[in-house]
Amino acid sequence: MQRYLIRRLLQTIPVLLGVSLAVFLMLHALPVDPVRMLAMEATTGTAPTTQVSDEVYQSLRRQLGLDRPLPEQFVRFVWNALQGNFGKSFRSNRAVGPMLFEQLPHTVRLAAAGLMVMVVLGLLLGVVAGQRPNSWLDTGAMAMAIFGVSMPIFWLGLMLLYIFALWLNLLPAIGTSPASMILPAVTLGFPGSAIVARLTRSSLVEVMQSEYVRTARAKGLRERWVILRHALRNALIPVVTVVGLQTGALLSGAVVTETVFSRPGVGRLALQGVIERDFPLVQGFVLLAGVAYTCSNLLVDVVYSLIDPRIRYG
Amino acid sequence: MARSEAKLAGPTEDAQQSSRAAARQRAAPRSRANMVFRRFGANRGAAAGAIALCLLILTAAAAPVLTPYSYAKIHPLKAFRPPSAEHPFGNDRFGRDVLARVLYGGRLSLQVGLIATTVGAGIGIPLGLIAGGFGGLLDDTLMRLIDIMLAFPGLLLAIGIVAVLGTGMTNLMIAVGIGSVPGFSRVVRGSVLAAREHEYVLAARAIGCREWKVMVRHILPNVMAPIIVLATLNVASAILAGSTLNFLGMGAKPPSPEWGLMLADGRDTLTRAWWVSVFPGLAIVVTTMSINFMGDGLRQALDPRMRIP
Repeated sequence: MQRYLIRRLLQTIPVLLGVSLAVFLMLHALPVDPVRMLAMEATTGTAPTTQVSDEVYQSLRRQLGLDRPLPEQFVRFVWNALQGNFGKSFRSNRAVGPMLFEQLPHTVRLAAAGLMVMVVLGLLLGVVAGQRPNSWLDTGAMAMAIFGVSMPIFWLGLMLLYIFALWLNLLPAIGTSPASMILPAVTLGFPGSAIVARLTRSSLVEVMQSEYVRTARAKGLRERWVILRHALRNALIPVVTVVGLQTGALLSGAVVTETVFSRPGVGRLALQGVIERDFPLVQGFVLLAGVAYTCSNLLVDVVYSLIDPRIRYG
Repeated sequence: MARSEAKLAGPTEDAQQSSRAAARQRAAPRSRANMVFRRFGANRGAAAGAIALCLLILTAAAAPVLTPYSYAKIHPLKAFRPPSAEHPFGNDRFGRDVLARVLYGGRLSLQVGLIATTVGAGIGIPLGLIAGGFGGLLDDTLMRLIDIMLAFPGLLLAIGIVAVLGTGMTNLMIAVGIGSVPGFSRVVRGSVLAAREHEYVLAARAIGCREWKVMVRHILPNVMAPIIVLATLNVASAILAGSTLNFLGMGAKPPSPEWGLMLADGRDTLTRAWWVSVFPGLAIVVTTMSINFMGDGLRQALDPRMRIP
């Protein structure tokens, strides 16, 4: 067990290094020279020409550390990132780290609420469908699941906003109250819940055929307890993995949800960065997301091996 | 199983059976294709999806014939008119006919789906073949690269690529395409690893085929089934991803009738005109759903046990 954990941890390190290398190279793969762009921005106020003096250009390049050899730049990049220093925003001239961390709690709250919707709704639909395969309840739940994966979440958000906030006037469309979290959370969690529901259903149907379920029924246990106490515990093991994977999708879904509902958050900040070509900001966000996702996958694998004693740690 | 039964039954019956099989083969010369087609047709969801998709392609192609209105021309007097007989989907804030925009927008979405999938398959399939076929250090290196790509969840990889390349429809299609590379290469690699153990591969090697020829001529045709299914499903997810990026303002620019872009516009006018947001969204749902149903039907028709992540 310990050996498995250590090996799994060691496997994560090259991925994390690769992620940071990819993010680092983003700035160097640009079709435009970021220094020239920045220098032009800086000088347009005083001299509205497209020419940037060589002096300004070189000093800016030095300032950004871009005159160093690439490997040295990379080491510096990783070292800085480890300390939460992602460089300075091209636009606001503020450090990217604090900009992102300021917005992070909003996104984490939204993602947590979305995760809750995803798990609760997904399990509910999946268990209802899996209990009686091929019944109308099953067909309905699975049709909803296909609908869930085929639908763009920004449209779901808009429709929920229109129906519940504008038309029925039941829930607030914007704001910071807990009630204003409901619509964004449902928007964010619904597509994932469709996937969770499908998997829970197929897993439950499979488990319901097994001998120990028959034994549990034979000893006269009520069907509800057969499912809750015996079948579901095993059926949920593969679901854990999918929930973990979908947690990553929540991160990118948050970008969209925050835009639809005009909520503050890391996603919207990064989006602005993409459109304004604020590369350090985008780099910081992508790095943060990549590392968070890799770590959450590691966590899922560990949890998975803990809850399923059948897994060998070979 | 058939062979052992024949052995038990003796040589005469064996001969009889094989002649019967030959007769059957003469009656239905392309039996596998026939079988797949029949199974696909018997699946109601899949057939409905295929028909819906054909209709969508037709309406998108015939948009100029189906509607007299332009998707870009502004009619200030018709702004925010609700759906009517003249304009079944209503008019947006510039008085443009929403139906015309939805019809023309179909061209863009289908284009995004097909081109992005071509990019993803064009890169992903060779990578998967190389990784699965040659193994060793090459395989390890390629799979670590794929792991790194997969470390950026969902749309973020595409968003990062658009951030580097710049916004616009072409870059968006490239980004969505690259985002689907890991899926293709993983599925192809897995199938190749399984197919490599078959005897026909050994036979091909025995007659002196070069390794790349074994891969392309012998293994690739045998792993086509999962590739076809994945490519079909990928068109749907590419359309979804493309419209999302467009909604976020990373692709087409106004007055383009791209569905995601229309929804971004509809979001701003939601309080005044629900029809601007409802119809493009429905168009996306119908398109992706019909492709998903079709892909699922293809999967069941080709190989019911196939698992596509």
